[in-house]
Amino acid sequence: MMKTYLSFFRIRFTRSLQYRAAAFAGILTQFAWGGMLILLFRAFYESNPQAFPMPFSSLATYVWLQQALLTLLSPWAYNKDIMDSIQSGTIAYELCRPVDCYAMWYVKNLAERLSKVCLRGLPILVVAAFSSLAVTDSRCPCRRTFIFFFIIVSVILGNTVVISLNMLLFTHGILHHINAGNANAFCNVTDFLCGRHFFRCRFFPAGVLGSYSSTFPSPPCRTRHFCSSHRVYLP
Amino acid sequence: MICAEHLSKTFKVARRNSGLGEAVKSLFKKEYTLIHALDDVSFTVPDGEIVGYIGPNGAGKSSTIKILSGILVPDSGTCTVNGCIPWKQRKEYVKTIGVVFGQRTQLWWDVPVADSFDLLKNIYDVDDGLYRKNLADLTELLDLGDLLTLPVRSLSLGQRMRCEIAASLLHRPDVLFLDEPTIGLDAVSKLAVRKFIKTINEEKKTTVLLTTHDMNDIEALARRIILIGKGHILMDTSFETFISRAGACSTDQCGADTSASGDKRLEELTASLYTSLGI
Repeated sequence: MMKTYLSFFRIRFTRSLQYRAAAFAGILTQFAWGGMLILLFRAFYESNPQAFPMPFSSLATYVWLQQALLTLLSPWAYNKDIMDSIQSGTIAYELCRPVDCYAMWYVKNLAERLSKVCLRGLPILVVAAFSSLAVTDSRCPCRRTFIFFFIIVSVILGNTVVISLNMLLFTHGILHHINAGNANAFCNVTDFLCGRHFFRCRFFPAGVLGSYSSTFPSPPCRTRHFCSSHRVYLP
Repeated sequence: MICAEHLSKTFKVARRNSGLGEAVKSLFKKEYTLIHALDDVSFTVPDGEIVGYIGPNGAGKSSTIKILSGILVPDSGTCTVNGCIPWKQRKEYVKTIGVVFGQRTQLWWDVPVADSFDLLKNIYDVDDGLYRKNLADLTELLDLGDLLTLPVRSLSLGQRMRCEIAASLLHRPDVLFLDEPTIGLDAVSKLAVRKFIKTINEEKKTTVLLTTHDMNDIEALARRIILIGKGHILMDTSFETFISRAGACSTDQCGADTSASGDKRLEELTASLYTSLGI
């Protein structure tokens, strides 16, 4: 059975590699988007650094990690083929395969997300890691290893939750024949509630969504030193 | 052996009249209508037979195929195929059947056909040796040689349909459900598909249930016809009896058109029969 699931990964990777221009455009888009976010937040930092729950360097790290792992942790980056097949009726073929449909769709989703992360996310992580040489971190190596370990664990758990939410969407799609608008609404709500945007909530008017931002408490500020204050920071 | 007994299936479909007002009204109160896709459908198909399952659009042909392949669950009635109840023993059962939906594709659009075949091999857990032999047989019979390395999106409809049929037979099923396999195909591709179906039926004794609107498919392949209309089985007879009854209806309605060509004659006869049966 493992061979079956691995072959979903293989064909998904093969498919992703088929379109080199799309992969390249994806990488560029995420670099541009991450860069814009950091520039935007730098402007806010310059006006009021206390408004943020973390130092600017940590925010830069967070933005680049978010960009690199975007397709693993975003509810909206689900496998569109499955939803299309539900709406077009091609789902009939999927239902006459001798495999568990839930497991097959779960793996298809994971394969889609992992293939995108490998093609688009890894280059971002590599560039961000090299750029981080410009930043000195005062934390001891064992503490950094500890943090790294928890990032990995939280990414895996986050991915599990996000794909499970997608499975709810597909199940709902089969039962009620929902359209793209419903799917987008579902994804936007779950994306907002998954906590990826907690630092943006600091800028909401007082009293609006206060409970949302308090769900994600501010981490204690740590000291970091930058080699320049006028560059786009990478972690 | 396919054995369907008293199958019934009803779909609940939202209905509203045209116009903006009706659209707004339907936001608050939806009206539904019940469509009886199948009503007390029973038939038996012995092993190794090719049966033409025909009827006008919306008669219930595809719903029957979907129930027989374990995709839909009937509201009442039961069926067994090779001793299995399709929707109850779905995973074990579907290993023994092949399904082709002529209007859908099971191949991955962007990758070469061979990659989709490899995926299906793993899904059906086909032994390497058997897979190579099946693929070689299918490649020869359906003339797939050069197509396997091409992405599906670059294939013509006829080429794609040949690949779709091959994909449904890689695991060598005992029963093959073909839902309009020749729809939209040119004459050469239709002949190739017909020849292939006949060959696998004769050589591998594959049972075939074929739905189509092309009566020439039926004439070329099926000795037995099951006619369904508005969810009811109206006729279960030999091809010859079907044609003679259709001929009688045609004469009653407008007199036999002896000048019509073979293809046209078959279509006109079938249309006359459908009209006389009120379907």
